[in-house]
Amino acid sequence: MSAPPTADAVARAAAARAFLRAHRRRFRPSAYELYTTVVVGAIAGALGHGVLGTLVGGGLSIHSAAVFGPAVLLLVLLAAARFGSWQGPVSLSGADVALLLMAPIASEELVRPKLDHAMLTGAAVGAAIGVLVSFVIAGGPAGLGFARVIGSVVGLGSLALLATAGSWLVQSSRRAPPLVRRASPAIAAAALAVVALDATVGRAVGIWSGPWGWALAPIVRQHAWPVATTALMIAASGLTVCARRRAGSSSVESYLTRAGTRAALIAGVSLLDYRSAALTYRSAQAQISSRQIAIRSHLRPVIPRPRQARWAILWRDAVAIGRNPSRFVWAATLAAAATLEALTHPGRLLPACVAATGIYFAAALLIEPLRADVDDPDRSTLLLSWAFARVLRAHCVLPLVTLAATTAATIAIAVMAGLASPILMLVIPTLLLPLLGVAVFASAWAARRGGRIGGSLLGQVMSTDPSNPGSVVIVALLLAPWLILTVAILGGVITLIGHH
Amino acid sequence: MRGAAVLNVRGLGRRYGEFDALRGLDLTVAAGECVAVIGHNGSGKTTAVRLIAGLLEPSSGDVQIVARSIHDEAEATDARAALAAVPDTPSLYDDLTVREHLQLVAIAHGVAGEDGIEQRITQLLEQLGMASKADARPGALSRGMRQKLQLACALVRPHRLLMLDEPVVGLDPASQRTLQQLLLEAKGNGVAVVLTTHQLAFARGIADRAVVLADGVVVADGPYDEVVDGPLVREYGLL
Repeated sequence: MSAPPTADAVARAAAARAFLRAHRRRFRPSAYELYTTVVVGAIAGALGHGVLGTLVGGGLSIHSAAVFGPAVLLLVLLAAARFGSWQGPVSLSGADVALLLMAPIASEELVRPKLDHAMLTGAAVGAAIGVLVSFVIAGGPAGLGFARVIGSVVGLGSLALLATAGSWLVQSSRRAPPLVRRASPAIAAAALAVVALDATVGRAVGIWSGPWGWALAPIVRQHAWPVATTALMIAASGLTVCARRRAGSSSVESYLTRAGTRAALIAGVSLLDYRSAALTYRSAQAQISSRQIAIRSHLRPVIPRPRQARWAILWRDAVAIGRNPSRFVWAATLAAAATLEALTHPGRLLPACVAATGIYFAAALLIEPLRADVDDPDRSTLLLSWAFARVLRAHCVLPLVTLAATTAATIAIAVMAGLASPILMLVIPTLLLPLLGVAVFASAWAARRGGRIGGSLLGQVMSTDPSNPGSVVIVALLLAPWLILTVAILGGVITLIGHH
Repeated sequence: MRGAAVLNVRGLGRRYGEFDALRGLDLTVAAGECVAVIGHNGSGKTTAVRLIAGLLEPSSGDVQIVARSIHDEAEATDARAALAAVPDTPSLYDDLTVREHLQLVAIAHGVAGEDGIEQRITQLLEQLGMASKADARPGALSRGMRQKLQLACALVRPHRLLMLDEPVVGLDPASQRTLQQLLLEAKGNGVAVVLTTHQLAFARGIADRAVVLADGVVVADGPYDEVVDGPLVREYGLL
C-alpha cells in the first residue's frame, strides 16, 4: 500500500480535475447526428430482436444457460482479467501522464473517479443483460417470478461489477498480468470441463462452482438462489472496496505504456489495419510480461533441423509452436469447443455456423507463421526461393494436422461420453480432413494480404451507402470473404451431417 | 552559477526482457549546470531521460532530485515538484487551447493563485512566438508549435531541474535560437538542465558537460568541448 497523499497534493488534483471538467469541450450532437443515431438505433434494435429470436428458436434456453452459462461467464471473467493485463478499465491519456501525473498531485484522486465510473458502467451493463436474459430466455416475471427476475438482474450486475473491479486489480498490480496470462489456458480448459461435467452429471456443478455460476442461479431456477446471489454480492462488494483502496497503486510507466498501446490500436482499427492492431496488442503483452513468460531456453523443445529444404517450413512452424505453445493451446481449445458445440446441437444451423467460425479462428491462430512471412516476404523468398503459393501451401500442413487430431479426439471422447451418436465416428476418416482443409486454406488465403485492407478496398468500404440495408452484407463480404465462405460451407455441411 | 547537486543518479539501469537498454548510469548535475547526453539512436538516451523523469521504473539504481527519490512513492511528490520534463513527442489535450494548457499546469503545480501567473503565461507565449495562437487548440498547430507548447508547459511553473528529450526536433532555426536563449536564462537562474540531442552544434554554448552513451553504457563524461571535439565522438560517428 502506498503512502497517503498530502492534503496539498489532494487539493491540487481536485483543482486540476475541476479545471478539466469546466474547460474540456463536451460532445454536443447536432440535430442530424441525433436523427442518424435514432435511425441506426432503430435498425440495430430490429436486427438485435431478430437475432435474439433466432437464438431462442435455435436452442438458447434455460437448459442451455445452465449447461453453458457458467463456462461462458467464467470466460467473460477471464477476458476481463486479460483486458486488465494490457489495458484495464482505467485509462489515462498521454496528456494526462505528461501534464498531470508528472505534477506533484495525488494520482489516486485522478484515478478513483475514473474507476468508479467504470465500475458503475460495468454494473449497469451487467444488470441490463440480466433484464434481457431473464425476459428473453426465462419469460420475465410471468415465467420466472418477480423475485427471481430481480435476483438475476442483481446477480449479473454484481458479476459485471466484480469483473470490472478484478480487471482493475490486475491492471494496478505488477505481478498479476503475467500470472493471468500463464493461467489463461488452464482457466479456459476449466470452463470446458464445467460444460462437460454439467452435460454428464447435471447442472448443479457449474452453478455452484463459483461466482460465474452463482449469477445464473435465479435464472436456472435453483432453489437456494438467494444464497448464491447474496454470496455474489458480498464477493463483488469486497472486491470493489479492494479496488478503490488500490486507486493509487498503478505506476506512471504502466499508464504511459497503455496510453501508447491504445493510441496505436485505435489508429490500426480506424484504418482497418487489423494486422498492425494485432501486432500492437502482442507487443503490449510482451512488454508487460516478457521476462516472466519467456520460456527458458533450456526448457524449449529441441526439434531437429531437416536436411531437405522441402521440410523447412514444416520445421519452422513446429519451432514456432515450441517457442509459443500458448497459441497452440488456444487453437486446440477453440477447435475442441467448436466441435463440442456442433456435436451437442446436431442439425441446427446457428450452432453449426458458430462451430465453423470457431474452427476458422483456430486455423487462423495456427497460421500465424505465414503472417510473419507476409509481413516480410523477402525472408521466405530469400531463404527458400519458392513461389509464394508453395510457401502458403506448406504453412497449411501443421495447422491441418493439429486441427484434425484435436477434432478427431473431441469426437471420439464425445461419443464415448454419450454426448454424440457413435455413427459420427465415420466422419473422422471421411469428411474431417476436407472440411478442415477448407477452413485452413481459407484462413491462409485471408492471411496472404497480411490482415491489411488495400487502399482501393478501403475506399469501396468507406463509400458504401450506410442507409442501404444490404450495405452490412456488402461490407462483410468485402472485409471477411474467406470467413464467410468457410462459415457457409462448414456450417451447411455440419448441419446436413446432424440432420442425417 | 554553480551550486549544490540537484540531480543525483546512481547505478541506474533498465532491462527489457533479456536486453539491457541502460546499465550503471551515474550522473550528478549541479544547480546552474547543463549536461548534454549524446549518442546514436538506440544508445539509451531516451531510456535514461525517462528513467530520470520517473516515466519508467528502473531495474536497478536510483534517481534523486533535490535529495528526494523520484521512484519512492513517499518522496516522489517533492521530486516531481522540482522537475520539469519535456518529452520527445508532445502529449497534449485535443480540446484545450494553448493558454488553457498552461493554466492547467499552473493549477496542477499549485501556482495558479500566485500573483503574476497570467502575465508569466503571456510573456512565455510571446517569447516562444505563440501569442497569436493562445486560443488555438493543438489540432491547429504544427509539429514545431506543439513542441513549443510542451516546452512552455515545462517552463510556466517553478522548477529546479529541466529535462529535455530531443528538444530541437521540429523547431525552425529562429525557434532553436529562442530555445537556446531560454536554456541560458534557466541556467542563469540556477536551474540544472539535462538535454539529449543529436545536434551537437545546438548544445555548444549551452552545455557545460557532455555524456556519451553507447549501447546503454557511458563511454565518455567530461567538459562539453573537450568531449565533442575529442577522438571518441568521431570514433562513434556522432559528428
